[in-house]
Amino acid sequence: MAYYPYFPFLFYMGKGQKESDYSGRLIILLYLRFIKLRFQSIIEYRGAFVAGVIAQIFYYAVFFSLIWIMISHFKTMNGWKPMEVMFLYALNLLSYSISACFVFLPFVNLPQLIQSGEFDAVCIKPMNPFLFLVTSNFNVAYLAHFSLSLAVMIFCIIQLKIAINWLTFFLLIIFILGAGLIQASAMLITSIPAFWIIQNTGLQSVFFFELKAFIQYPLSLYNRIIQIFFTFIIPYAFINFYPAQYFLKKNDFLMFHPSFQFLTPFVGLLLFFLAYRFWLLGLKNYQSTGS
Amino acid sequence: MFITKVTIFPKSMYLFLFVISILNGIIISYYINYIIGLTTFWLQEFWYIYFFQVSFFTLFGATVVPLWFYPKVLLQISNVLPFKYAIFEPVNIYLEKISFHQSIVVIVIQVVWLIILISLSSFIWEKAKKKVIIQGG
Repeated sequence: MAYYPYFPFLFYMGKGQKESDYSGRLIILLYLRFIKLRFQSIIEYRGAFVAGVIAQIFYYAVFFSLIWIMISHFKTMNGWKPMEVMFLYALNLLSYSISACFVFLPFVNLPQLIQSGEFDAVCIKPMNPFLFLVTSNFNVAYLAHFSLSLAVMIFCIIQLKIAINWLTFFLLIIFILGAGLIQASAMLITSIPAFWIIQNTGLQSVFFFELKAFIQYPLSLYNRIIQIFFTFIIPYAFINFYPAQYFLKKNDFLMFHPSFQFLTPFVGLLLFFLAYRFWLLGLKNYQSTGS
Repeated sequence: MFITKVTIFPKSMYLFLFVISILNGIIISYYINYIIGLTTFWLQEFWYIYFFQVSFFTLFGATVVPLWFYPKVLLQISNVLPFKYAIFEPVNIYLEKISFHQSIVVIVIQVVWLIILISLSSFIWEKAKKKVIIQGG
C-alpha cells in the first residue's frame, strides 16, 4: 500500500513518489468517471432518488420553519432576529451539503468497510486510498440540501438587505468553503477511530450530528464554558457564528477578538490538515478483520 | 422561565387516561411509519423513510415546538392530521392541560384514527402484494 503523506497540499509530490501514479489530470478524469457511474446507479432506482430528494428538502424545510415559528413567537433571541438565525442555519446547512457531497458516504460507511473487509480492496488500488474513497463515493443527493439552503440564504440576504459587492461575495464563498472544510474534517476525525475500535457510529452521531445542534442558535445564548468549548475545543462556532458576524454587522464577539470573524478558512485548513494526518495514522494501524 | 407549573405526577384519573392515550399513540405512530415504509414496494429503496418520518412528526406532531406556538394555518393543518395524536395529545393529558371531557374526546379521535390507519394500511398491503419485484440476489 502506497503512503501519501502530502495529499492535501495540491498534489505536492513527496520524496520517492512517482509522477505516473499521482498525476492531477488523471485523478480529475477518474473522478468524473466515478461520478458518471454513481449517476448510472442512481438512475436504476429513480423513484427512490426522487422520493429521497423530496424527503430531504421537506426535512430541512421543517427545521427552517420551526426556527421561524419559535423565534417569531419570542420576537428576538438575545438580539437576533428570526431572519438572522435563519441565515446562521443556512450557512451551516450549505457548508454541510458541500462537504457531505464528498465525504459523507465514504466516512460514515468507513466502519462498515473495515468490518466487512472491503477496506482491503481500497488499499490495493493503485492510488491514494483517501482519494479513492472520496472520488468513488460522490453523493448526488446532497444537491437537495444545497439548493434548499442556497435558496434560504439568498432569501435571507435580500430580506436583511446585506450589501453584496465583489468583496463580500468573495468572502462569503471563502467562508462557506472554510466552513465546509471544518465540517468535512469533523466527519473524518469522528470516523477514523474505527481503525482501532471498528464500530464508531455512536461517536460520530454524538460528536458530529448531535453537537452541531448547538450552532443552530447564536452562540451568545449559551454560557461561557460552552462558548469556549465551541470556539477552541470543538470549533463548530467558526462554521456559522463568527462568519455571520461579518455579514450581519453584529458585534457579538463574546470575550474574543473581532478578528475571529475572518478566521474560518484558516481554521478549516488547519483542521483538514490535522484530520488528514490522523487518517494517515489510522491507515498505518489498519489491520484487516479477516472476515 | 416560560414554564409556570410543572406537573410531576398527575391525578390518578389523568394518569389512567394518559396510559390509554399513550398506548393508542404508540399504535398510531407504528401504523404511520408502517404506511410510509410500505412505499418501498414501489420505490425499492428505504433510506428516505427516516427523513419523512422525522419531519412529519416534528412539524405536524409538535414533538419539538408545542402546537400553541404555531401560526393559524399550520395549526389547522396539524389538527386534521393524525400526527399530533401520537405524542403531543397524550403529553397534554399528562400535564393536565386539557379538561377531563376533552381528554375523552382525544381518546375517541385516536380510536377513529386507528381504524382509518389500519384499514388504509391493509388496503396498501393488498396492493403491495401484487407489486413484489424479486431482485436477483
